[in-house]
Amino acid sequence: MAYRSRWLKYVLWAISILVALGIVLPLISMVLFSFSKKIEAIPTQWTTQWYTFNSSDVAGSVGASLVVAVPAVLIGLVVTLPLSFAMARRQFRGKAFIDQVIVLPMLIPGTVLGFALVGLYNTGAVRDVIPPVAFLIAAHVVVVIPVLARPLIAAIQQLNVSVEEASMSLGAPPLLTVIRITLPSILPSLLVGAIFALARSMTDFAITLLLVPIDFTPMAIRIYNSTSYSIPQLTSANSVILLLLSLAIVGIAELVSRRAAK
Amino acid sequence: MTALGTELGQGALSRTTTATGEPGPSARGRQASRAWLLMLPFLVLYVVFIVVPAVSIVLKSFASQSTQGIEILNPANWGGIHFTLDNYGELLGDDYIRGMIGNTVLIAAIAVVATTVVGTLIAYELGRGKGRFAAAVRWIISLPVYLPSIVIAFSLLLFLGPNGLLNAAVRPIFGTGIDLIYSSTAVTLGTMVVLLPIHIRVVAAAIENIPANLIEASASLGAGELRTLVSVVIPMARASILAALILNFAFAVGMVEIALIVGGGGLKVPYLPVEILQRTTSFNPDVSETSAMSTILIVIALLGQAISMIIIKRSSRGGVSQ
Repeated sequence: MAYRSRWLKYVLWAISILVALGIVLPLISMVLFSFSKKIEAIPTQWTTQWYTFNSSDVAGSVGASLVVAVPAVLIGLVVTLPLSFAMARRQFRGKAFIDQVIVLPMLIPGTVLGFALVGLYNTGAVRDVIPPVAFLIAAHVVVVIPVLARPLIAAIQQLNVSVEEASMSLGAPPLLTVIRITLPSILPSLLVGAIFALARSMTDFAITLLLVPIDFTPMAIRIYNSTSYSIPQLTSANSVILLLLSLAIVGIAELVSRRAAK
Repeated sequence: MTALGTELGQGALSRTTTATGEPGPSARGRQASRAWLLMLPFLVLYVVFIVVPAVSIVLKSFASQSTQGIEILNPANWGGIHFTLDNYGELLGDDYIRGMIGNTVLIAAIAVVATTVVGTLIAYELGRGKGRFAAAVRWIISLPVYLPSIVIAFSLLLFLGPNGLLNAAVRPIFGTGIDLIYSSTAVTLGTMVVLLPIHIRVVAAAIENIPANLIEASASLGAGELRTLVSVVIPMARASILAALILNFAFAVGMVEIALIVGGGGLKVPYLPVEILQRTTSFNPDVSETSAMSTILIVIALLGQAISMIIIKRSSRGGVSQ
């Protein structure tokens, strides 16, 4: 475009690159720290000792993160699927309101929701009946619902209703139509939503910190606890593991959605 | 990145309802009752795990200190609760807490205003940038949405710290290092890092929706790019920019990870969510005061959502592009 100003372009690019550096340099610096024997920005003595130091504990923590995240996402899907059908397909009074209610877990600060849930857990018989990890999973179900709902509602809205109508006009019952026709067509969005929900659950900090029992340490909590040892290399090594995990999860989501777009 | 973002803000900013014809009154009633049936598991879950705990916190924040240990969810106890504004009076009467609330609001406000300026400019340029380099910069800037905030916070602490990369680069040039960690400046910068991708995504989408012929018209009338940016592009995207600003403020005021790690655990930089976190994990938490602090944050969050909704609704009703 002829009207584009060259200096404006340079200024805007300079700002963009500065911000990108402000994000990526700390991450690179953290990776360097994790391989450094001493506390120094650019390692002079390299080591992998911070990765092998407590590897079985770290593996246990990755496991603990998954023990919470996987059931939370699966239960979340069971709850979100019918919700998404209602939001995408049906007309009812209060729909705009429900639309706002869905994002509540993103809106209410994690510390506040965590504090509130601690209060709920300490009420009456709740503590005696429900094991703490089960309660933590339930809290994570609520946290992942908005992440799941958004792509699902959009996918169901974009679906061509006529294929389903054809299926039903040929005598297929509605539930069979949903399972055989509707679900396969929204599967890519469902998968992408589920993968992002997995990442959301595994990276949650405040709610998890307030609800975990002492002997249960998901990865995000292990990282926070390790900051009190004053060994930044160890915290870095633990952080790099969670960083790689969440990058891998997002990468998979990218691949799935790119495949689906083809 | 994919359009399937997970961040705050988009729910309020982009959602359309489909009209599947106009069903008759009885059909509509049947539709409605089936819709509520489909939503039942969701509603039950949200009522039990969000509404009830949140409402009980709000109630506790108005209950007198002597009844703070009471189980507020048990109806048998409701007669014994004495409602008062004392908890709020105590919060605002405490110099430390008053300063902390002021500090939290100030850091969030500066971070959000800076994010709005920087983020809107980046959204304008990067939104249409083509080629691998632009894609790489876009990808890097979108990272904080997907990465664990606790990791982002810790990496910033390392980077800005006395043994960090920044000081390793600065010290040989200026002779002395810069001491940024455990300062309000560092918390503000860290908050910006987390807020920027959210703002950029929302505003880039809004700028993309501006009809190209409007920008061409401005250019053909002789306006330079800067003039077009200031007097056509930004006003057209105003509603989205404002809505993102307000939601981001509510988000920043409630964000704990950055202030906790980069702010030094609340000792050097007092921050409301950090205080709530630490009081909740302490052995003898003051439930009444913590409830009052939490209630303040709940009100800010709900107000933020409501105001940004109104802005978006107004702008779409006025026929102005979002």
